[in-house]
Amino acid sequence: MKTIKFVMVWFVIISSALFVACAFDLAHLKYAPTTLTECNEECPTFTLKEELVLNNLPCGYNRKLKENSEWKKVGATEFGDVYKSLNQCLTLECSNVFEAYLVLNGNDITGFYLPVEDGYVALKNPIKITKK
Amino acid sequence: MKRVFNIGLLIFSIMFFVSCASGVPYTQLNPSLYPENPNNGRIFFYRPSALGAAIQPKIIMNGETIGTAISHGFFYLDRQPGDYEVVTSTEVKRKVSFVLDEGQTRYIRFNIGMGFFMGHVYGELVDSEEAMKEIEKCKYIPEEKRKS
Repeated sequence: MKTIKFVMVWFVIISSALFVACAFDLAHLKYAPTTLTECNEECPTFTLKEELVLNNLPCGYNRKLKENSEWKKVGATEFGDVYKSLNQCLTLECSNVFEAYLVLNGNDITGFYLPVEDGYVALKNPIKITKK
Repeated sequence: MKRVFNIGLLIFSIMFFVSCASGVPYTQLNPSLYPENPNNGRIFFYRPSALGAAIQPKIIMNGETIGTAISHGFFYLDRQPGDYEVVTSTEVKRKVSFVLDEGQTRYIRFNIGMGFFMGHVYGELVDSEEAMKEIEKCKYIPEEKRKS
């Protein structure tokens, strides 16, 4: 009986020490630093023809781009043209949440621009969009 | 045994209700969705769920403590256009970053996620349609209460 008690006490002490010593692991979004060159002249807009689901985004999240969502070009980076939504929120999420704009090359979404961080997150495979 | 259970239930119920917002309902306050000064933007903060209500982290926006994430509560602030980071800390810091434009209204919803020792309260940027449906069920947290 004494032995069991002794083992239990040590088990609690070691477990506590172990858990206190471990930091909770946050999932970080990896992005490349970039610079947005704002469009000063005519900034084109487009409307998405149909809903588009973006799968396998960083940290395993998915996002939906709504049918009829409107997107306006706000500038360009070395990775492509940057479009901001006028009527829907778009974010990327790991442990933290980041507002995101689309980066397009022609009709392909190739990644995301993070306006607060000035960062670029690339998609593994480009996703084609259909404009109205 | 039954007595212990009843006492436990009573303590839990008291904690639950004390932890939730108790101000004026949104539908009664009916605040404007737009900033008073059209050169600014308006940000709504709300926490629609009672899950983990006892965990009420401070809300820090760009380094300034602006309130507390209280269940079933909401409040709003007008701020100049620019980049914003809203941080909530429990056992870890969680952050949401977004851009506020002139005359724009943004909605930050606080959710609770799994943690190691306790739940993590984190902010999320939400579309206005979705936010309005949820805020309508929340109660206003006045400044003196959300900063106490």
